[in-house]
Amino acid sequence: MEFEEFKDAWKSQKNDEPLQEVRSLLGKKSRSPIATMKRHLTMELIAVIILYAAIIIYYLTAFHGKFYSISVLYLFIGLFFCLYYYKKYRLLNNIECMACQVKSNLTKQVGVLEKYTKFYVLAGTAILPLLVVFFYWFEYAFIAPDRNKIFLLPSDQVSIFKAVAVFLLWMTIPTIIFYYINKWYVRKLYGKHVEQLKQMLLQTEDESNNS
Amino acid sequence: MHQNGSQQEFLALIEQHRGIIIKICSIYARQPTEREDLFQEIVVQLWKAWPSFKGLSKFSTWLYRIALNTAISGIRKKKTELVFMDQAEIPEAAEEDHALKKEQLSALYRAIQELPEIDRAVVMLFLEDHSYEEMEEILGLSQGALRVKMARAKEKLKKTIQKPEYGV
Repeated sequence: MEFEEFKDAWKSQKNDEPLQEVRSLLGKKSRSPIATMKRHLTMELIAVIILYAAIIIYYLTAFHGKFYSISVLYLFIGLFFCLYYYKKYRLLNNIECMACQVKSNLTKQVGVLEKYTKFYVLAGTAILPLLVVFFYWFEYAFIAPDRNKIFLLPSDQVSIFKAVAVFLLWMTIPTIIFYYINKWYVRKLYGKHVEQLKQMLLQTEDESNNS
Repeated sequence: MHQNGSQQEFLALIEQHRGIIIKICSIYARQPTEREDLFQEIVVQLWKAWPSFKGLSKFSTWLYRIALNTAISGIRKKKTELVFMDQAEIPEAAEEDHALKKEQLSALYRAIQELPEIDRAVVMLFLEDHSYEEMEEILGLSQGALRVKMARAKEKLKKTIQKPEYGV
């Protein structure tokens, strides 16, 4: 049987299959991976805002405001998280162009998703050393301006070499471990999807090169 | 009022092009529930994009792009066993030699489902009688590449359909 003959069969299809009533679908939420990622991100942001706002208000009002500096610390960390979520949200908003040609949409998705996952891993890894450095600075600036009282800060008792060496040792190993945990987690979340998109993009490229 | 009018216009156009969406669902989703999910997702994506449709391209071109983008990359693929469509799930053939056509269609759908995702779109557009120029506008592949793809896909489909289990 020639392939062209199948065209007749194809065209003879009746398309009145009552799959679903279209009007009832208009108010439904998208279940695409990108829409799901956006929803998760919004939920994470709301959780962070509620949690940090509660901590900030607590330390501002409890103990007669004696520990207000802790509120300031949490405010800074909270703002940092908001920036982090904003950057991720912006990337997600630019990830797809559904009305574009299939190939350009795939190219866009692969490029932005790779950026997104890289940012996820790097930000997730950098957060640990950044928070420790920030905590030290904050403790020095707001809580204990006496260097001798801050653990591991160069002082009369601790030489700068010793402080740096211990600090690096202290930070490097957890940061490396954190990096691999993050990488594994991001790969588990998005790795398969990115691979599938890349494979499909390859399908569009390989023939173009041959022709 | 304007939104209602716009919604009516959208629903009428979708109804008119419903067949395209159903065919795309049938070649990209193997299970009936997956087809329902894909149909829903395509309609949701079309409705979301509807305000930005300015009529610069044909409605069908715009619809094909969104529907194929949704089917190809907009849904996370589940690892499913290769389950062939049941005869009852094949869209009905309209003519008298109904049984033969239905058998051919069943074999064709099963064979198309074995092709890579992009090739399925090319074959579907070919079967829908779209020119290579239109295919290029929808898929973004050069006409040369599309011709090569179509020739290879035809060969693959012929070989697949000739297998005894396809019974055509």
